[in-house]
Amino acid sequence: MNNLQIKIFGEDLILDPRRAMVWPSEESIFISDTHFGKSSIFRKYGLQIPEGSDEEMLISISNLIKDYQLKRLFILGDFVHGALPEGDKFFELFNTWRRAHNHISVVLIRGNHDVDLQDLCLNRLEIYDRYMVKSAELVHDPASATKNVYVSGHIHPHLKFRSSQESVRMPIFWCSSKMLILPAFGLFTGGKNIELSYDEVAYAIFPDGSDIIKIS
Amino acid sequence: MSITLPTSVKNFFLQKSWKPSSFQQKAWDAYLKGYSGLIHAPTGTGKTLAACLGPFIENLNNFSTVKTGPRLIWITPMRALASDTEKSLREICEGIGLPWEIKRRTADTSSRDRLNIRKKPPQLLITTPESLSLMLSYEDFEKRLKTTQCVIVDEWHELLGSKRGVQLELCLARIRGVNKNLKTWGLSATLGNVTEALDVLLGMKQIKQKKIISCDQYKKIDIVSLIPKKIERFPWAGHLGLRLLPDILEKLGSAKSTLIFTNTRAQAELWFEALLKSQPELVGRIALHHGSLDKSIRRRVEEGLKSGEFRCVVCTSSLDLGVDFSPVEQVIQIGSPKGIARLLQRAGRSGHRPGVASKIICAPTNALELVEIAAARLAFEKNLIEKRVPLRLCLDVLAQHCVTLATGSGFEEKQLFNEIQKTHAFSNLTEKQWRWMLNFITSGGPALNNYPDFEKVVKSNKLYKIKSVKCARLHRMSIGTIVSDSLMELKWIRGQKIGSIEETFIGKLKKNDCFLFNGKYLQLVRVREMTAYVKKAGNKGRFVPRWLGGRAPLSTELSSFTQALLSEPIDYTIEEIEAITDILKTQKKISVLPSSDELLIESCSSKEGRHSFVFSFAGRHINEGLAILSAWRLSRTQKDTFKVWANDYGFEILSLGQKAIDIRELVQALSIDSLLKDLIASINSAETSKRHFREIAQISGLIFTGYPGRGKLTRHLQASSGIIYDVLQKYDGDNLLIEQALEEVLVSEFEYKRLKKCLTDIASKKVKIIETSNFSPFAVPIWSERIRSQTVSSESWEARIKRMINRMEKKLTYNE
Repeated sequence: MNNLQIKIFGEDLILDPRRAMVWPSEESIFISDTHFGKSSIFRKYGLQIPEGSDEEMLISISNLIKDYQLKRLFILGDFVHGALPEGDKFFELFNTWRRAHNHISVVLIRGNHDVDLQDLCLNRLEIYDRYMVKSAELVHDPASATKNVYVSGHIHPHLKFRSSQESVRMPIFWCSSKMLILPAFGLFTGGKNIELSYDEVAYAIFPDGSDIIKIS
Repeated sequence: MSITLPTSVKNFFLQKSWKPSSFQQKAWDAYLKGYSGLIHAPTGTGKTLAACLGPFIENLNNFSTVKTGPRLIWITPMRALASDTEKSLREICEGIGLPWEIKRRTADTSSRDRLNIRKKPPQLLITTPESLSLMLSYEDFEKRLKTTQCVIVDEWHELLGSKRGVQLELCLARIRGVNKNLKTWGLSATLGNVTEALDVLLGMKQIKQKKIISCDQYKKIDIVSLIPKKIERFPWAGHLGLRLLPDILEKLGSAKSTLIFTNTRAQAELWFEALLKSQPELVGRIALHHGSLDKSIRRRVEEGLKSGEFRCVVCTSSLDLGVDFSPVEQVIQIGSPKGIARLLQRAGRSGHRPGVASKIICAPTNALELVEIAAARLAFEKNLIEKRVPLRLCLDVLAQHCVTLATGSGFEEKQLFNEIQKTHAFSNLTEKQWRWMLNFITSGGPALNNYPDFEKVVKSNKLYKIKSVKCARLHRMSIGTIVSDSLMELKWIRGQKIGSIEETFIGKLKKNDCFLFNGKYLQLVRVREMTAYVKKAGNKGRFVPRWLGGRAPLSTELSSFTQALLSEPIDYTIEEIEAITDILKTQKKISVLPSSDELLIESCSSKEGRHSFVFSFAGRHINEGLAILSAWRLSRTQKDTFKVWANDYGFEILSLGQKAIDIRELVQALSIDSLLKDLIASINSAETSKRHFREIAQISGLIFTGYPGRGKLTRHLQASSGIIYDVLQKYDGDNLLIEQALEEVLVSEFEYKRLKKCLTDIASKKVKIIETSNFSPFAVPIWSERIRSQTVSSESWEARIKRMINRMEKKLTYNE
């Protein structure tokens, strides 16, 4: 797996093509917009979407924690897609996962989709609207940042590349000297195409998650 | 004819001074004897009267006061046609003294009227396939169909070959399921496969008494080419035909009213603008009509056409269908019509009266199109018209239909399976596919099997019914099979509405970009949610919208006639061919004119690389398939980068590397061996399938698009079909809808069967390989279009091609 080391607002960070950011000096990993339970909400409304993505995402998080030996997991909002039906499979899935990772703390920055978090989840998550890590403010929506330097999610940023024949769309980490916006971690999510301005940099992730490249 | 008309009918005819034609009498006779059938006649020959009078007479003779349900259901493919149809049916009904209530039920009908129609159905109900399906989703409606005598499907050729047709087949099967005595009649204009069309309409082995009524007296149609005074030796499709503007203006002057058909919306915009610019006094007397304009504007133009207010209307296929514009004196077609049926349909817009000859003037946008016009005339003289191939096994439509029935009265498994197998579309439905489908709508398919919360259809007591009121509501909102690119509203900055425009088109523009819309130069100011705000453009950037679905490929029938006209020996006595003598001579000089048993391949070098042109004359879709397939096969044996491009006549493979393409390898790359496997591998099937999956997902109910204007309520249910495709493929690999997407790609994008036949033909041909020093006249159109597609600014490619063509001309003259 190819990751990238970058320096941004004076910090050494690692961008992993599995759509996660690692802050080694804080022993923390950051992901955003997981939208857990999205497929079950679809099913609830009679749309035949198979399950499987929730489980795969939890496995992916476990692997990241193992690979980097980390103590803290930050989720920058939209942990769940909406109010999940009682007894939904995800609760069991998440509880099992949580028990296996008792040693780490999980911090959720509340996102616009996280309106109705079940008690079950509450017990195992610290929830904040904003949170400071060194000089950086963690928020869900970049528009709600109050400090100069922030890390956020919400946008699900993508970049579109066009050649004469075809176009590719890649999820990106969207950066400037003051901000870092994470790609959505959720496997069942879409995104928004953005345009880079001159002082911004994007780190684009290959669709198969194998590599990450810098674009400016 | 044995039929005796009731006195009131005779009097009505006398009063209108109508004389029933023989096919009309045959149709009435057949109906009254209990037949079902298809009335096959060109536009403007009186099909409506032929179809409706049978049922009308039956009820005049034997008036019934039964009010439990509609006696006659009239299906029309277009909402816009419904009001005209109602008017003419009402006139006949009242004229002959049949005291029937007539009502329309389309998507435009208010909810109060809808309820009213369901509770107290009129004797004659005019509706669309979608609305009929929707009515079947109400529990009380099915029983109202038990007393229906006849369903008449207008413009059946428009529905045949589409998923809307399949939807209608299923609905008709349902009606026949509750009503054994139902008669079904279809009306169809020019069509190549009439018998098949009848079989699809009536279902398999259901109706024994069936008849095809053809109007034996084909209307006379003159297909005339507008031959440019000067024809360049290298044809290219650059100027969209505007060079013929003076000739067209001359024609406009000689007729009271003219319809100008173009093939694309962009072309319509350009012509509208050009006409206004050169004849400013036409303002207010000339109008534009295409699918992206606001409904109210379109309606006004249609009204104006009928009242004779407009001298000229520039339009696209948006005016192809039925509405009666009898005042139109003259029809002009810009560019090749690409199909015979389409040309006849358009020609039928003029002289829309029995017995009056229709005339269509065709203006070519490049000189080779003259050949296509001549080909269309020949095909018409030989009575060869395109077929519409009916679709089969559309599981997405079936899934929707089953949920619709479950939402209505519910269904029993066995009984519905039998009923569905009687339709043409699903006569080959296997037990396994049926099981999968039932599973899909009840438990969500194998991948969802253990998910108790899935809600859609449940089986209780043998009967399949929708699970909740909520599901029923969601389903009703998504009934239908028309999936179009989502539209954005186009507004002035101050908020006044101009029209609607495809989202993908606006997506390609940047702020401040200019484009032409309804004859106005607009500049994009901002995009907010689903609205694009514009202002008048100051400087006129020449940017013409390139809309989706613009260009239809040349039909099979027309391609083969075109190829015959361009093969040795050439028949110079045909006016159009004589006009392009210079082009053919130049072609002969630089390369050759192939005979019909030869396949011409030209190769040539330029600064770009090595070009190979293969001329199969098989139509654009096929040539695109051939190009991609052969380039993919070549790339496996030699390391190189290829660019490919195709048009109706042939395709180009450009190798960017130094090494020339080995022509023998190219010929081998056109082999039919392992075609399917290679084609799937070469078309990046995942990406293309994904595009097709959008429609399937929407029809089968996998995505919910919501009500226009009520989108926000269902925000949390929105996901693009691309994401759903990925998720399904990953976690539910056996999903039959994914399979269907690939099949649709093969069938609709590459016309797999036709492609296969084309490769077989190629294998039997002598390959003629010519090394040329210059692009030949056949090659120039392909090359110039590739250059156009690859350059960004529209100014530069025209300039560039003009320059290069000048150089070619000079070189040729010098050599002479």
